[in-house]
Amino acid sequence: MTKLPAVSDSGPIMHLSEIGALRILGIFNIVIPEEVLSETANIHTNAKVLMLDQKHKDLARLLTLTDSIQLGEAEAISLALQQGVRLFFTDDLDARSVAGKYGLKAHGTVGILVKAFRKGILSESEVVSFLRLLRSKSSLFITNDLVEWSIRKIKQHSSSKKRRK
Amino acid sequence: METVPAKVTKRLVDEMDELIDEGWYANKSELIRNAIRDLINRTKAERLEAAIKEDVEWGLSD
Repeated sequence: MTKLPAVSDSGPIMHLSEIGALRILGIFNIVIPEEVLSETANIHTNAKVLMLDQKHKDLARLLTLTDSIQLGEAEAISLALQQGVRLFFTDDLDARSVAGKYGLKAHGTVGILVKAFRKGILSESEVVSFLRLLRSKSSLFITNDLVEWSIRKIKQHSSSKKRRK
Repeated sequence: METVPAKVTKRLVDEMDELIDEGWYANKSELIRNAIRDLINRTKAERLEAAIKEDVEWGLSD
């Protein structure tokens, strides 16, 4: 299975770690900048740490000033641009908007969990349980309605797949 | 607190006065602060909803 390359900020790494689902990040080739490494220093991941060149360090600093995002998020966006990686993982809504302006495809912890289910790494019951844990156990802000909406979508997907068989 | 200059229509001013007269708010400043707070919260909730829905669609796609 080809692993999609992605850059992550610290949000999804922390939230997946909080619910014991960090292993699913392994379905991607994750790269992180130094600032994200220091923000997630106590979490062990297989993410590769890459240095920003001067031009992209400057861009990261600029993004913190002009777009009011944190340094970790700014460095991650800048690293994605430096490496030509289109996929960017974040749970921060502002970082998500900034990434969109630079042509990146931004997704968060919920998207990663659902993708792991779609790729067969998580069963339906596992993804459902992780989504509920995300609401009850992690520091990610998500409403109960959105968790239940996501679960309904997953169940609809499973039943339409069964019908096709 | 900061002062934010803004122009509003006569009709809005009348409606604000009506709510104040009815006792819902102490004055225009309190009413406007409340309205802005509600707007910010609603916008954040809508952005979160759009992001989660986009994530699920992406997750379930090939």
